[in-house]
Amino acid sequence: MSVRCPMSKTLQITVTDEIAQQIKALMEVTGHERPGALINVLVRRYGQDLARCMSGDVLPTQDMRVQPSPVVSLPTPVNVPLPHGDVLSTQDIVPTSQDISPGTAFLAMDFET
Amino acid sequence: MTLTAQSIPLLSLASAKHTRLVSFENSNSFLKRHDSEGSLVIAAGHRENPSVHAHSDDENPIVILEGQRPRWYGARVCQGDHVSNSHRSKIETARESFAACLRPSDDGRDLIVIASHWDKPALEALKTSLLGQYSVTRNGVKIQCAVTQVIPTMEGLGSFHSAKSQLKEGKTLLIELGYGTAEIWFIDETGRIVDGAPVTRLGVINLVKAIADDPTVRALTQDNSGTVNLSAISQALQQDTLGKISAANWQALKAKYASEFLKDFQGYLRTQHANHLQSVSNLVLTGGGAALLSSIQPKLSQVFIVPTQPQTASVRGAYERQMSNV
Repeated sequence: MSVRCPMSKTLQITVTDEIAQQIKALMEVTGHERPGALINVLVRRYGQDLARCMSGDVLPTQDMRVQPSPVVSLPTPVNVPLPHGDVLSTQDIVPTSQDISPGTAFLAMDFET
Repeated sequence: MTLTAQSIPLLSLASAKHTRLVSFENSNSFLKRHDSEGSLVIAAGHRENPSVHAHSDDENPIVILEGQRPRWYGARVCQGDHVSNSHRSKIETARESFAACLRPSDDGRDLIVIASHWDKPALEALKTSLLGQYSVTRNGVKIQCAVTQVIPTMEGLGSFHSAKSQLKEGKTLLIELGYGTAEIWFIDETGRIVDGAPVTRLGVINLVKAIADDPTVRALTQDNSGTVNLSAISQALQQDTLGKISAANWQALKAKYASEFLKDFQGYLRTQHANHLQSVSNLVLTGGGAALLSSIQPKLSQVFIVPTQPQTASVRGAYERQMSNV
């Protein structure tokens, strides 16, 4: 599949069945109707980790870890029913300030005088 | 006292000067040395054949190396016409720069020199350049010594060692902010440099040039030829005023251009190293630029670890690192 990235570059992702299932689950959680739109949101919000897509690289799946940035607002928490009956709230994965790396915190600093 | 055959070796031992370990960094803008006597920093510009009125001291030495013309180094000479090292390679200038940093107490000694450079392939050439006998007259004092061994080391590792006690477990991004260039180093959990490069765009000189281009600064500080002395601005950055500019206006100017410099700094890291930035546990800011920027923008201390006396953190750390291995 092809996904539009910032700066009008295109990211080629090889989607395995497992990833397709995960994308489908995320679409249900976030309400996206098209997988491309969802991935565009991921790229926009969490794009720092996907920066290599700018060069047109094919990203291995292990490089696709999502690390929320403090620069953007986080999605509204959603409760996700798990197969074994538990309910996972996405609020559980909202990062605290201690989870944010100093590098990301530096990029978010405002130096306006 | 009667000398016996048995007492002679003991006397020889007592009067012999033992080998000294010296850490040395030949930066284009500052020559830095550290050893058991402390740190020495000398502005790297020089003027040949200074007048008899040239006031020399340890940080502004007049140096005669092996019968060459006398050279006056230091911040004083850099305020006026001077020859800058910035257009010559560090290998080419290593020997003369090291000579400028010799101490009277080096006389008669063998020296083991830890010498740092950002360019790994250049380390061997740096070694060759520094090795050998030195015959120097420095501020009127004759010094003869020999560099018998050079331990080349990557720039960045010394500063990393200086900051080590403040680091959390994990990876480190270390930024050595110098006058002409900044070096950016990624250091893994074991203390090994795994990536990095010098970045000219982030040298403090870019901040100095931006200030020199400010209309207010230009109007008040340029000479008859329309030139603004960058060295004067560089020195004034660490002081409360520049020429006839009021202290309040100078503070405002510094804050304005430091803010723009930091935004450019952010932009560079965002575009070049965003992935790395998310995974580092430590950000270290060091070098002369670290002292300057953290004094103008205290916010930086919220995210950066700035070692004490950051301008000499590299040479001090390299020395301490070597001593810890002994």
